[in-house]
Amino acid sequence: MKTIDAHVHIGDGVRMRHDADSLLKNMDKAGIEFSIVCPMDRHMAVANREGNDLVLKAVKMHPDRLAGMAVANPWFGGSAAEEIRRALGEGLTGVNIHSVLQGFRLADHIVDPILEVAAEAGVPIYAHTGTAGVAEPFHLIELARRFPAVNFLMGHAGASDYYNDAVRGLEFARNVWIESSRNGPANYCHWQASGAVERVVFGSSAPEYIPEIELETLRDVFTETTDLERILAKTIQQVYRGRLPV
Amino acid sequence: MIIDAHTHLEPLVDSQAKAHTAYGMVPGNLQDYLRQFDENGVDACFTFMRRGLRLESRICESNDGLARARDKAPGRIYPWGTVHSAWPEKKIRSEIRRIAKVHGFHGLKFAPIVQGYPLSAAGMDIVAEEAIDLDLPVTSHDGSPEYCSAIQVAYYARKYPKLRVISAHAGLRELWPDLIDAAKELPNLWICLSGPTQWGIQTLYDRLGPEKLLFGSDGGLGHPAITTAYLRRIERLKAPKKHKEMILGGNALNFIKGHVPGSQPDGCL
Repeated sequence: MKTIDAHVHIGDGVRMRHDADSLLKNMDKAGIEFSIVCPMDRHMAVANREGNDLVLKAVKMHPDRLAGMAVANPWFGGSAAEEIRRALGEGLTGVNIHSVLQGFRLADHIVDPILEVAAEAGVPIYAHTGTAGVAEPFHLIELARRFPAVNFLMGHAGASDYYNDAVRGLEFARNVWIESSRNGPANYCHWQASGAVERVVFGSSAPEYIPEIELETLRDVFTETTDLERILAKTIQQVYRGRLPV
Repeated sequence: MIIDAHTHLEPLVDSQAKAHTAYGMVPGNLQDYLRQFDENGVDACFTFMRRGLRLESRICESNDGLARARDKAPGRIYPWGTVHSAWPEKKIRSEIRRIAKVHGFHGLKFAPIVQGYPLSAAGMDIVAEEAIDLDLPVTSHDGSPEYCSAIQVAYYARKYPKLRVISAHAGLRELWPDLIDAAKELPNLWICLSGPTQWGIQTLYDRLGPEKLLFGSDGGLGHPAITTAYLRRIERLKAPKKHKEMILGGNALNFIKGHVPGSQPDGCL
């Protein structure tokens, strides 16, 4: 079954290191054809251009296996939007915002210039959620309502305490999908029972997690082929509006 | 031997119904609970209540229900009860003494995020006094601001150095780093690994070694894969087999009342 991992990190961070070769090896072990990569750690927080260039290099070396998301800390103001525009122009196909590492409340208008660039380019936004007060699912819903033409991925689906909010928020924004990393069988069952399966995409958040294990666990709960096909590949292609080269 | 140091059983019969679904699944009865752990190869569990943690009015009844479950599955179920910190002092003290001395419970479990008070509430001082006197360990849900973050659990262990404290979720996905310095400093603080990312579990092991770590899944109420998932995490931990055995069950034995070092609890496989 075709499998796309919607959320992995690469980089040589202060705390974590994960290069493209390790990623590809782990993808092969897990049977993942394609992954969407973003920077991590210091590259997400401050050294944004360095991180974007690292992701661009990996994507250009492995265009049949990897796509990439651009990052820029909105506290850099106009230059953040310019960096996003540059990275998208060079070949990245989405934008990742991480209000915890970048130091803002997710619904703060400080991020609007970055979202405007994403809207112009027609690329999706991935936003980390699950951190109390600064990155909650309903914060993301506010962003999605402000930018209805942009598709949003609710990173980690609010894990772990916001499992109810993550699903309840979906009714207020048709342009939001929930990404599965940092979740487990309890929340998978909650998504099933809430009728949210069509809004779920698989992500591993490697190297935080081992993709092989996350897929095994996902398959423990989602046993219907049609559900798995959606979660593992079809829905993320919809979020990307057919722009993923897979 | 595998001991799951964090499980829930619903002892209230009227709550084992569709109206009280947990994560999309109807909470099962004792047989369902035991079957889930059998399927996962888990020999024994630290068993906490479910709905009684949210419904203060049904705490005592839930404590009694856990005792009955233990009597039906001795050696498999090691109950940990609860009280409410907002109760009158006399009631807190008497219920702790009752579940320790009459029921023989092995510890106290708190979930401040749903019980509605922080670990720094005055009632938790009374809990600590009784628990120390009775040599009962306390485990608390953590990883959830504003009542029970990981650092708040560390506070409780620091405030009461004679009290054995277990962080019930190791700070969940994001707050586990707070426990590294705390667990190094505090000999009375242990960490149940039901919550962090794989990287978090690996980092806790790399920084702390195996002695302070306990396997736990938060299973028992929903899908059996909840427990399978955390067993996979320990299986994939980069650690010697001996250390994994300590984490999977060896360390938990120290929290079983009356356990004789070197032996296995009655009823264990």
